Amino acid sequence: METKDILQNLVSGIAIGSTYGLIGLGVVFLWQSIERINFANISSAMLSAYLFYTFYSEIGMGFFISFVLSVGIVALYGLGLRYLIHEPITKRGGGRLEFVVATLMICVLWLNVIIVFYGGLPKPFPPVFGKATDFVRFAGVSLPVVYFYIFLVVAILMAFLHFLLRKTLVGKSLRATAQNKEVAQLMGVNVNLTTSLAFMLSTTVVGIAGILLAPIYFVSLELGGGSIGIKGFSAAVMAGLIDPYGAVVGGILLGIIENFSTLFISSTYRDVISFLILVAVLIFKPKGIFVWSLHRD
Amino acid sequence: MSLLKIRNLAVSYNGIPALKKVSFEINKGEVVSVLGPNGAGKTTLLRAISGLVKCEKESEILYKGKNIVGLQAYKIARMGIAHVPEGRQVFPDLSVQENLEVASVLTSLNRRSGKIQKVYELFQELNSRKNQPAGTLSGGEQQMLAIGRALVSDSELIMVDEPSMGLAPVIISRIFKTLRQIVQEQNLTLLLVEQNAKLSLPLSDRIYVLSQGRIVLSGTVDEVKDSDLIRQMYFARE
Repeated sequence: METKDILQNLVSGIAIGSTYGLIGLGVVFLWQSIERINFANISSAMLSAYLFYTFYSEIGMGFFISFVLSVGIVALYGLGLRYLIHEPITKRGGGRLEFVVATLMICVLWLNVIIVFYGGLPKPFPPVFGKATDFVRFAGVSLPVVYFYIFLVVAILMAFLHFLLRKTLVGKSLRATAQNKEVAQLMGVNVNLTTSLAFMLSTTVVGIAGILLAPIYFVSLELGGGSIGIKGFSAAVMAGLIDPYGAVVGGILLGIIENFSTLFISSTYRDVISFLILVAVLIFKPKGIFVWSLHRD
Repeated sequence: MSLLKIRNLAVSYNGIPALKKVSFEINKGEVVSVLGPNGAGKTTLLRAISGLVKCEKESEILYKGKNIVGLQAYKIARMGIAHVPEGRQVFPDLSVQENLEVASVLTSLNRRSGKIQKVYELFQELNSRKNQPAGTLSGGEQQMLAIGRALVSDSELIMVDEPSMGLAPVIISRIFKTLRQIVQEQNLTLLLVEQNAKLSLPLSDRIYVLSQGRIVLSGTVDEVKDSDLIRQMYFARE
């Protein structure tokens, strides 16, 4: 074992892990605002990756336009989730279970919609974050350029979210609503608005994660189901489902553990280990590990 | 003209009535206390006015002449009714300053910081804990913050639900003193819900006594303070 290997795995673990963190963030935003878990959370990642592929590779739009368009559509999709799924279910007296079943079906629906329109085979992701052969060499370590794009985008996004939640009145109202919806209303906070915002933020961050993961997983059905989605849940669970910062830290930790388990044990068990972490956290620390908030349910 | 006029207000939880055709009114600039034992419906009354619970069909709550029954809670708050909820309920993870900022959504932008500054002058303790999460404050400080939130909201009617609950006597008298000061200085209308008559009588212009969901006694403080009911309920055990 050389330091070089350790450094290599650390950096790639942090890069991949931060995208798991974004997926976990999607879970946290929704849980905070409506106390529901969206089982189609990960679908937003697949949708934005395919949208980006369509706009950039098939239609030939520029990178920036394609990125903004795909993420924008996924944000609107969040509103759709609220008004076409959540509100009708709630109006008819449905609770958490109904929402889980509905979103689980939506997850399956999107996978099939993608198969119908794009086929089941993975599409190559355009080399917008550098080609697969582009490496940055540093102190004897070679790292794919895409990792640095991931760092960059995640850093910008986190700075934006931090600004939104901590410095703007809208963000403060959003946090107030998350902590006590009823009293937030007594303060005159428009909860319709904050709920919509939470849905949109939830799908948007996952959508951005989808575009970042596409160079690694390709534009494929893998982005819309199973293991990546569960890694996002693991990150969210480590944050007790309520701490946005905790979700990102949890995701990064998960990415690092995953990479080192590949290094020390075998890549065969990579996914198993993240599931084990999820189960272990749920059993031993069901209120989360990285939770800095005072309000716990 | 009455600021708030309530007619035939009825609320029930799963078919069990909590308020039975309650009618009363509050005039502008008045301090009105609603007294009553636990379970009399005092908190339900405030929650009904704020739109947090559903009222029965025939209920009417007129605020400045407009019926507000069925409006969403945040819209009622925006009309100028502030509600300091039972048990304080500050936002624990928001700092003291942020709690006040969220409550000042309705105040025009240029007056917000002035309003918040005024709360800090009224409650010095809060000033030194500005950036601390509200969840780390003591019970008394949380109550001050909860009242402070109502003050920055620019509301005309302030409803306070049992401000004495769970607090030490010295803090309670401090809070009531401040409430009196606020009412005198700032032309506000106060609806106070309280179990403790000794605290609320000196502050009030008029009293309503609520028992099992009905108003059983009403009048000015002078009229009711010698009544048997008030004596029995509040001073008998002295």
